[in-house]
Amino acid sequence: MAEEPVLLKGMATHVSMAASCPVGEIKFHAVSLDPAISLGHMVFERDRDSAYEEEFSIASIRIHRDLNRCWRRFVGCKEMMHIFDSLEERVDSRDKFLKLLDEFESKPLAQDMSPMFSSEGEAGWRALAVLCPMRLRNKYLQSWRDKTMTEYEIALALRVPEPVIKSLMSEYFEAALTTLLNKPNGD
Amino acid sequence: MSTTIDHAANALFPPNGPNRAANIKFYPGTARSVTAAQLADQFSRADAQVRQGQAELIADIDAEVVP
Repeated sequence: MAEEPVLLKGMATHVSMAASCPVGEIKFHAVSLDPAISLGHMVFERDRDSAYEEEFSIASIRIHRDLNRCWRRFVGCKEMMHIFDSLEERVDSRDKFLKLLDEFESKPLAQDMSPMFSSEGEAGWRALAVLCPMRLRNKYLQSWRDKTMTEYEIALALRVPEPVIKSLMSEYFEAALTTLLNKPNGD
Repeated sequence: MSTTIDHAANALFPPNGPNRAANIKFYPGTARSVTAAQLADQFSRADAQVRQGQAELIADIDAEVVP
């Protein structure tokens, strides 16, 4: 029997309930987007209609409605990972928003990227690590090397997009995880 | 400043009011290059769908098919 893939739904519940989580609720919305421009985005916003007396934040994650399950999960997970952005990584001002938009357009060199733009790439690696933890990755690693399983078959088993399998199985994957785990908390 | 970018920026960070957003990030699309205005426009379009109740809430993101 195939091992079940990591489910994002339960993870979102646990993340939002964690005492250290800065958002009280995570919502996923299916929206119509131009997939050439963007597959999705997330907005952490304050719920002004909340019944709670304290300020209550909601993570509103918008995902292109025509994505298949694997892509929907990955985009949703990557956006959810921004819950863990540090203060300098968060786009919490007009100036930082304009800066982020400009960097998507100009594609700066790595050393010139703002913390906000850098976190975009990091969140992708976090999502990969969360949806494909080492135990699952290692389960399929030899089959990938031997080519006894195709990347499509592995992606299907893990419920992730086929294009991410190369990154998952790369020698760099463990180094990326180490970098993310050792990253100092900027808050 | 592009009107499109202004519209998105004003929705998130009103010039004369408290910020609505504590963070916003994007997942890029398939195009090799995009403009800031195009990205801002995608946010504004999706935001209108959500605020007008025309964006379905995904109850189970792991489901094969969502509404």
